[in-house]
Amino acid sequence: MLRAMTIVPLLLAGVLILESVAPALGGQQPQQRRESASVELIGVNHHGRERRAQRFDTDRLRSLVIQVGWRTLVGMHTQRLELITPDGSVYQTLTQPVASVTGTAVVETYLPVAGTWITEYGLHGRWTVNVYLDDAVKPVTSAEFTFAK
Amino acid sequence: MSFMNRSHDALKTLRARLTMTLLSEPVLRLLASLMCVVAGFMCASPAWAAVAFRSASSVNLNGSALTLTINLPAGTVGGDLMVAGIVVRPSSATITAPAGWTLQRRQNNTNPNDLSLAVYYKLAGTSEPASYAWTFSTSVGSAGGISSFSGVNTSTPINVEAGATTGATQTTTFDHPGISTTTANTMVVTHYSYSSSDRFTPPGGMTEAFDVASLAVANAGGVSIAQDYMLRAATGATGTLTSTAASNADVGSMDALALAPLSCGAVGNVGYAAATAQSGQAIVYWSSGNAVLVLRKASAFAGETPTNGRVYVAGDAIGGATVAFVGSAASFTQTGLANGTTYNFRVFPYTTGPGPCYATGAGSDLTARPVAAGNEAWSYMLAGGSVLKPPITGDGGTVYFSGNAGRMISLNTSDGTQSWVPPATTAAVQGYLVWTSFSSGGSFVLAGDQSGRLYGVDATNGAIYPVALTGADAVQAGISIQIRLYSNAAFAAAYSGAYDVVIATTSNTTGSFTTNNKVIALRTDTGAVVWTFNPCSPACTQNVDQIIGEPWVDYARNRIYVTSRAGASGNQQSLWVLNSLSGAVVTSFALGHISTAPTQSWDGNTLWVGNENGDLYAINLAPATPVLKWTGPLALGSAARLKGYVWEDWISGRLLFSTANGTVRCFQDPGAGATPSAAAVCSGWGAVSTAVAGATTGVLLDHLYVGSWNGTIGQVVAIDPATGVAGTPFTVGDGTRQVGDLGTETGGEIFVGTTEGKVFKITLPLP
Repeated sequence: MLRAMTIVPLLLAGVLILESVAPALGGQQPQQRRESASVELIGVNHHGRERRAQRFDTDRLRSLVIQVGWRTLVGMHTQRLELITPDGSVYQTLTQPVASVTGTAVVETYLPVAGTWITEYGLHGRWTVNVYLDDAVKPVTSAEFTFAK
Repeated sequence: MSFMNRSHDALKTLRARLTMTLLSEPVLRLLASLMCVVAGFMCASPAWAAVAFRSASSVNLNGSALTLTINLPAGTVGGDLMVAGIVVRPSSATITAPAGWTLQRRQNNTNPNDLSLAVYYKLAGTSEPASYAWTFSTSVGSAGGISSFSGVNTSTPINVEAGATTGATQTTTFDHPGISTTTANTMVVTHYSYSSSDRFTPPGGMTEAFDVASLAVANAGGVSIAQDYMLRAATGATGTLTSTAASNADVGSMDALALAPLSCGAVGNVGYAAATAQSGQAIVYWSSGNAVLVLRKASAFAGETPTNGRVYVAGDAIGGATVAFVGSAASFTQTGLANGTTYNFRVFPYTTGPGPCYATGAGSDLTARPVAAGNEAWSYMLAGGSVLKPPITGDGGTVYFSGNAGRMISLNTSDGTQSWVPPATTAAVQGYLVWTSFSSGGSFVLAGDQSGRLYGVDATNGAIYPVALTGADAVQAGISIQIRLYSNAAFAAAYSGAYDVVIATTSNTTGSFTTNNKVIALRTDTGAVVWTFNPCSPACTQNVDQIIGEPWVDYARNRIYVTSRAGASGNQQSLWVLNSLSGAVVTSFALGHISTAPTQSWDGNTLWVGNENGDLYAINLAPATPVLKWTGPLALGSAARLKGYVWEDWISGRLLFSTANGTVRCFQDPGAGATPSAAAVCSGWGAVSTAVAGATTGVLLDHLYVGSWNGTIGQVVAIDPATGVAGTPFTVGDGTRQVGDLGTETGGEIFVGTTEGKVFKITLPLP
């Protein structure tokens, strides 16, 4: 609690800054805040070791960690990941809450790989992960990676 | 490449983590909320629909007619607010407005040369008439017009309003004292009228919507009226609003009002969306507490969304899409579709009062491709994830399946329509579903999901009963069940009561995930655990890696055969023979990583199981302690590892199975003590295998039907089990999606799912 109280003055200062840069509505439909985020992909092998890459051998992969780094995120939101298979289908959608007062946050999502349909049906090739915020239909960012044998 | 070791601490066991730099999540959430409140910052920013002038329509030179007929402003659409200004002389005239118009103000000026200004508004519907007629009890002159505005708050369209007159003063300068708005982003609309016929100059900053008179200008007789508008971002007083007439000073009446903008908060999207495609039509399903608008397009959506504040009807165009349905329902049938065309659907819930305010449509993208009557009977798609395990049959005429979208689905097999609203699971379901009639009554569908929960769904109504499994963070394999009705006396002695026993397995992904997996037996009546194999509390009794294949229940011996991976070293035990009455280990085998399900022979004495190294093992189940049946495995090489499970043909010991390198293989069990040969060819076959690109686990009927994917086209292939000859492939849907395993209900059809989340019913025989 003490830690929270010490942060409040900083928080309020941040609020003032944010207010000063917030776009005036000017009678127009306000623009949706355009958040900024990046994606890191980390493969976890059967020994629990991790490796950052864009290409992964599914025979050696236990799971894939999709790490999204938010840079300009304020407030409480929902992050939605959409995983697209090489044939262009939505394989799975994964959601998690995300919140920040500093603007930055990192969210890690585990996608199981070993023993899943990815290995069972050999869903090998170029995948895409689209990152959405809340109910948006346009992704904030996307990243590609490869599942290979 | 460098590897980084991470500690296996408690954080590691969390499947999803939030990594914050300064604060724990509860404090962070508190402060985030505080920030939103203090700053008014748009944490969940409402969308403001800017009020906009659309068009105006007015009547000039109406003279002293007793009717003033004004056309509907061009381009007016449902949800627009229409504002009408009518002026008539004398002020004592009775004004009768057309139906549906609300009088905002009647501003009489009863001084010499008296006149009356009347201001009305009306919310446009979706089928407005071409014109509106105002009638007067008497008239020596009238004029008026209508303007349409979009983006207006439909519940409280007028923020503030005030009338004014010149009194007895005859003038060409008309000063309205102004209004003071209380909300931002209003549209200020003014009306000026006077008892002469001439033109007005609008107040500074305002735009003239219409400016008409009852007589040709300039004329000291008759009446004139002008309407002006301007957007106003700020709140507060406008100050005096002055308009001037060109000549012929006279008395006048004025009005100023501010239209409030429509403000839309976040509107929740659908809980689920699904579609069944039939010949010439598609049935679209959804769940929402609000009414919905459904868009349809014969190509991929390109950002088409309904506009807040606009009311649509079916048939309206939004960009390249068409509004297919508007209303409160849980489904609708879109008829008149072209067979062979893929239609995209997206569902937008909306709220009203004010509104309509539309959701984004996220998570509701569907495709439906009707086809003419033929082998493809119907297809069904649930938005949100792949379906690669086929539907399983239940009570007559119904099949059940699930997938990565996390819903349990029941379909009428005759037409692909939903039996009930599919209940949600917490995470993806990737194992086979199991339908069963409980010995104590009732029919249920069982499944486990990737959150470590077991589900029982009442097959009659879709009611779902979740059970969180202790020590499980994911269930990958299908659920097994030992049914009392078919079990022996030993089962009845061990489990007194009327319940059956459900067997769930784990495929943990966190913690000591190569050793901490479990087999959990639960009662069907209460969900209570009757035993856990490898409970790992306080310590694991065995090292059990992920369990991926569905366990096999041996009713005659009260055993459960469970396969698993073999740990990080690959040397752990991976075939477990458990006593189904106690969970005790009868025996176990170290057969390498196994991700397939075991299969018991028709005679009950052999168990076949294939590992990830391409080895097929046979286990002799006849001894009290099962042993390996052959001198070694059928070694096919890791590229040719077995997929799914094996089918035993009607020729005893003759096995059919798919391999990961794209073949369907036949192999005759050589018998106990024999050495299997990978070169052995089944009698009647010309080779050891038949090539089928991307062969999936098939279903053995009159033929062995398997799915196929060559990277470009998804098909089903029928293979004659007697000869190994493959028939002409049948393309599934439009063929663009990878297909999964196959299933059947009656043997007269097959079911197959795809990565797109679509399931097809294909009637047999194939052409």
